[in-house]
Amino acid sequence: MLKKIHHVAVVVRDADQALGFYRDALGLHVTADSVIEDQGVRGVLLECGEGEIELIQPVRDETGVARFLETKGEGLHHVCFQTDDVAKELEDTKARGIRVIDQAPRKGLAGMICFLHPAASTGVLVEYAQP
Amino acid sequence: MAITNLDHVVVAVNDLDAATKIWQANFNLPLERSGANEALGINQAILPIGSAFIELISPLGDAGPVADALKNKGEGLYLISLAVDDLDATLADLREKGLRVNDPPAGSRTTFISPRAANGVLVQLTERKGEGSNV
Repeated sequence: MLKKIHHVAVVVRDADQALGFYRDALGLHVTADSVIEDQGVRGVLLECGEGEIELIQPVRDETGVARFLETKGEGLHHVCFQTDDVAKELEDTKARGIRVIDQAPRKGLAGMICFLHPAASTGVLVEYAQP
Repeated sequence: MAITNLDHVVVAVNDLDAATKIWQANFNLPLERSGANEALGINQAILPIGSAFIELISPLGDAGPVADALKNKGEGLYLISLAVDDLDATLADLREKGLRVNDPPAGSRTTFISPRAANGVLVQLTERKGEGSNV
């Protein structure tokens, strides 16, 4: 069962520049800031009440996020729902014939995560996360 | 001033009824309400999750920002709305920091920050004073 919106992710060219708005102007607190080498991104999480805003900056070319930035520019990238059991959620999702990107959960910035295919949800890339 | 929550996420869709069924079925979200909002020129469906909600919107006509977004970018994430405890104080604070933000229209307690200031994201600020997830 999905509990809440865990975060909404924004692809940015330069996370430091983006923090000028999301942290300094909006006053949101940074709770995590790290480079995930295998995904080729820097992720910054900002606390926003019950949810978070995640800034994602590609740190190398030839990743999905770098391609997104190249073709679509900066902007909203995905929405993540929190679950108690990401493996079960993913199995249920697949069993109902909903198209997914990840066949099994993997480690991400928000815990164990998986992505569904945007074609399954009116063009929205959806992530499940078990923190 | 303070931002108190990620209030809701808005998704632009072509067919509101079809999209509502998809979001309900995919994510087991309840449908709080749906219908036309003539003032905004959209059909909207509200699907609560946690203290937030997903709002699906489709344009009532061929013109306007939502219709343009669908034409130019197709269906997908449209905006995020952040809850604030005091909209006037928030706007004053943002202006002091050099941002250009419009006052809310008369009778409304919500306004927008330009995507140019927010890394391509249309950010809405919505004043919440402890009431439920009404738009």
